[in-house]
Amino acid sequence: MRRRLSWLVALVALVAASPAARANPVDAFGLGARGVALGGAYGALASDFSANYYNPAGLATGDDLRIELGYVLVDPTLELNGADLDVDGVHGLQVGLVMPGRLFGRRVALSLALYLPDDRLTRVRALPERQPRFALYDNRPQRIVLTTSAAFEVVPDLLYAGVGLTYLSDTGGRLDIAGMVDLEDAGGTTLVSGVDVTFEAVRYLHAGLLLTPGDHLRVGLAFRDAFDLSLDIGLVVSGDIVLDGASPSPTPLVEDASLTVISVNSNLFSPRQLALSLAWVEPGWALACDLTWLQWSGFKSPTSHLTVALDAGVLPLSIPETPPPGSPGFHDIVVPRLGAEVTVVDTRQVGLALRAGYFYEPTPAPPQPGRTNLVDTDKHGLSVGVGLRLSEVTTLFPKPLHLDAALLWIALPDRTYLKDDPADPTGDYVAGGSFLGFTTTLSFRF
Amino acid sequence: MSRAPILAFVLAGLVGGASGCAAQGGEDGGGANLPNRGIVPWTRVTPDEAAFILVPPADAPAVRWREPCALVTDGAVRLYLEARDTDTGDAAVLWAESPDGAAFTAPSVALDDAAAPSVTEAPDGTLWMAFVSPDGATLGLASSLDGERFTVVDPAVVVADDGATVDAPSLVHDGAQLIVYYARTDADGSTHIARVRGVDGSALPAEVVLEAGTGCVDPSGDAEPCWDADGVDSPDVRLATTAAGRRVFRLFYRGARGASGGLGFAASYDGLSFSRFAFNPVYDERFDERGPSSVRLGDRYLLYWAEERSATVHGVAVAEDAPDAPADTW
Repeated sequence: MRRRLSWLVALVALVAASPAARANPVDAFGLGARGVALGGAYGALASDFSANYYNPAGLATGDDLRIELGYVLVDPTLELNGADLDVDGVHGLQVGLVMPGRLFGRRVALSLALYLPDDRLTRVRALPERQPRFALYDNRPQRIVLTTSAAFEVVPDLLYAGVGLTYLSDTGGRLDIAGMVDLEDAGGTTLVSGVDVTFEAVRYLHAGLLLTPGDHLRVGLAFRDAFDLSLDIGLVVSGDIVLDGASPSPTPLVEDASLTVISVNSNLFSPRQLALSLAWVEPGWALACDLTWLQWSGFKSPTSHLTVALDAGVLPLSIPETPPPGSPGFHDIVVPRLGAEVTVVDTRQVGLALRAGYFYEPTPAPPQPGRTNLVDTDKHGLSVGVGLRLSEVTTLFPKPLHLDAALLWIALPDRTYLKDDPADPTGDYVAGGSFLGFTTTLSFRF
Repeated sequence: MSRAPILAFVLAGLVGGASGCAAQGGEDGGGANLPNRGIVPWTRVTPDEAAFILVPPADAPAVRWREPCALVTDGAVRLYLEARDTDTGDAAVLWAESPDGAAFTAPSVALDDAAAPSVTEAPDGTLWMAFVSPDGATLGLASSLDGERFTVVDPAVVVADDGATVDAPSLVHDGAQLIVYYARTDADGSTHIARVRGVDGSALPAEVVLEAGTGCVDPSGDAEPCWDADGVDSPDVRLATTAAGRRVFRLFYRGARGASGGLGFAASYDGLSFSRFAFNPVYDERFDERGPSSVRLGDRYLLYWAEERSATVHGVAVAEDAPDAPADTW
């Protein structure tokens, strides 16, 4: 056990040291094939690596060391006025590790889950305020996702608890330009530049409880804290403004002039979440439902707030202030999820389970009658999946191999946006679309 | 070596970037096929490097072609325009046709003794033309079944009074209602855009729809000095449908600043209260563009206007908007 823990600690330390981001593709599309197939109603059932997201308390319910590999592919068709906006899809590897053990006679587990996109590792950008964008999918999927958790058995065979941390990174940078600017002749200008970019670590919490009174009922409660990553970039130009800069003795007009341009925006936001999960488990089937509250009212405008400061001395130059972007006015939502699983084949060598799920996610986004165009609609998610158990395939794996797969279809019904101003540059529009996804997970148990 | 002031250039670029731009678009990742209403940006079409697509005959140096009015019919653009002899003041309405909106047939006469045409097609297929008398004293109506020759139906739907003149009518069919927007210049030289409506054969009183120097807002929605404070004229109104199926009256017009002017845009849901586009002017090359007329040809928006750079360089020009994802239809 000590050896297992030392591996895990080393691995967690290695990954956490790199710029990581929150489970946004996971928020949007789920984690692990079984959870996706059950419509995300998985908080009371998860004991695999996906419990890092759904409910870390479930990690302490298993006895097997698990190494899990998977792949997810989600293709969006998000449209405005029937035309595809070409929003980026989600595709990448999912890797998980669950290391159970016992401490003072109680079950404990350490785990991590990693989503590694195989296209863009991350994206930071600030779009113009007026440009329409699907606010929940614009750049959220382009994230590395790392969650690490620890779980333990509080009351034997009855109550489990789990807690974890996720590491993210704020992005900040400055381009510093200094020197001498010739007001009339570019040839007399001498400037040197430097770039200073930082990624500051941000941590946030997730935690869960799991109650298992009896052999059938499972009740879960999971908390995922909010986070708001900022993008803070700037340009600083400083120096003297002169005439005849190319000559040995330039004529100074302004000494120590400066121009500072700072752009700050909320680059990535994920709402605080509280999920209540129920499941009823029988030997041949299981039913599950989740109810998740998401605090979208904390969402800040993703539009850049530009601050410009100019000190040009005696020169009659000024730059108007730009007002900060207003609140996007998102509201909290509650997402219900349902899932069912039936075992149709259950022999010593092979087991086969069929799964289906549904969720309804109301949009947190308000109408957009003014300048902003933060587009979102309600979502209906339908999923189906299979779970295959293969035993005694090879002596290399003494315990069964599990292969799970799921198909996911999320429909975004058309939503009409009407503008107050008939001369609005964007005008009225209709937004809608769908996602089609596939995910699979291969689980090795030892 | 003398160059443009560097700091001013940098500041201009930064301020321009800060204030934003009405044009939309972007790279991948959600930036494709963004809605385009055909308001901005416009790119001038210059076939064979020519500034104009239609110019008067070289042997008629006193003739000016102006106040174009475009109409899309059978997948082609039919352009009506005023041909005025600046020596005599005589005027006639010409028409020409183009399948691509840029290469036109030689113009032919559609109506004599008339100026500043605006043509629209009624639901029954009849083509109606609003025009003004060459002296600007009256505004009349004519009709045609083929769009090539028109017959005057009512020579004086609007009669300018009190020393005023009327110009540049724009005709709109709104169900059973016929609306004529026009520019009125009062005796003191001030201009505004007004409209008259005819319902079931009776004319309603004239109403002012756009005045110079009032009602301008910046991109943040705050009031600001009007870019067209010295006059508004040459209205071109189209009753369109937004992408969400709502009616909207689109208005291109000329805004005057001093002795020159550019092209602006405004819109209205009721046809009476017009809101100016926050990023006006939508086209201004400092050549005093006049008489805008906009149509949608397939997925392209086209904007026609007349321009007189000098006594020898003048004609009708056209620009086209980015063909990404057209939104408004009419």
